[in-house]
Amino acid sequence: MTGFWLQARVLARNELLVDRRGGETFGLVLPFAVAALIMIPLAVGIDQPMISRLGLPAFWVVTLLFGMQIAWHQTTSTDRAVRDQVRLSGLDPAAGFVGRAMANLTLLVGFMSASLVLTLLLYSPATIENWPGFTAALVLFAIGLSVISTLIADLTLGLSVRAGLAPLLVAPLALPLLFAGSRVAELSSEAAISRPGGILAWLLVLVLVDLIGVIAGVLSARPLEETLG
Amino acid sequence: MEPLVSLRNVALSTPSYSILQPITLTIEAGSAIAIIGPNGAGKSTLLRVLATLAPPTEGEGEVLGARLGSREVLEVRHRVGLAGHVPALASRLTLRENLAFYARLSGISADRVEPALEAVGLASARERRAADCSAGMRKRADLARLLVDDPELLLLDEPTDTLDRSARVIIDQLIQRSVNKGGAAVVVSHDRVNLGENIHRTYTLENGTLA
Repeated sequence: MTGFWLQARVLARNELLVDRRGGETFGLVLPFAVAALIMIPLAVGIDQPMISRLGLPAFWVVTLLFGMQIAWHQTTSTDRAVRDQVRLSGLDPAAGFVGRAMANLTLLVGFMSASLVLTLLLYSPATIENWPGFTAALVLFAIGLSVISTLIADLTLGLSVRAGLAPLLVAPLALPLLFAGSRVAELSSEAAISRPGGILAWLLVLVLVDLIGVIAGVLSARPLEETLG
Repeated sequence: MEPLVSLRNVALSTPSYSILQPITLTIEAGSAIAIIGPNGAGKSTLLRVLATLAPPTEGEGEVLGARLGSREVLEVRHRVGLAGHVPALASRLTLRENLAFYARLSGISADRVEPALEAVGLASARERRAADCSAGMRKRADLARLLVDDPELLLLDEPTDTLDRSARVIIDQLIQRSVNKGGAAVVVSHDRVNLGENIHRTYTLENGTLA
């Protein structure tokens, strides 16, 4: 038997390796997200102030919609034979949850970084002045989305309608993340920099959502695994 | 000496139908048993119960001293080795990567993977992705995983399916190894002909009833 964090790390590494082999995140989802980010300015037309105003909101929406596609689709939990074998390896279900969430977080951070660079290039949004606050919001958003998606992936395991249902469940649960993240982005911009206190409040909202997700995921991991296994 | 497995009126059902009728079964250390039955008799489900993966809906039992359906099973699962009729391999990973993953997760040195693959005749295919392997090769790789694990309670579901005669020797060796070290082996099959030479006792399972 191995320790909690070692098991989580081994599982996360395996998830990332399988995703890399399949090229799902960066070969499949990211190109579609890029296409979505390109299509919005095309639809708006040559209205630079409008495009600039749309930049960060478009980034958050694209991140949520495409990010949850990345995060809920996990590999070790889908194949029953593999799932059984992982359980027989003595994996602590909570470590399994943390490991899958860690893999999702890594993929989301990579995906969000690429999307953000493209957003800055395409939209020229208002200059971000408070980069530490904005970066913290990005990371907290990614943690929250990965944790919520992992939880939903576990909850919908074995359902025949899983592919359609999981994203529909993730989206409303992730709305507080979207709202808080976009508020931090807005408050981090040049125009709003005079109100730094507001950023902290929204960052705390993100931390709270993340904490609730982690606690719910860890506590429900074993009952879920034993019920749906 | 306490038996490795003790089931007392263990049954398993879903809200709509019964999969296993109440079963009472004791498996002593150092024994190898076979369970024969037609398709859909509940053989694979019984193996999942023995593997602690499917908690019974009725009755009670212990596997390796852990009460079925309790938290105790988490502590003994790594001592159970199951080769289901579908090999537990991630299709995008190579055979070596698959086995190394399970080994690391169990806290076993990944150095044991290469000799195990060699023992089942897959040394030259170790870097081949599971998706690119034949059904027989995947089955052999699954058996190699059991060589790496060296489990106390060995559970084999239709182990000879898709395997040629030479590979069946590996199954006999696995069973013999478990028995010799004081463990136990359970083999389920739809066909009596597919059983190895090391079976001490044979049961039949039909419509969820063990006899």
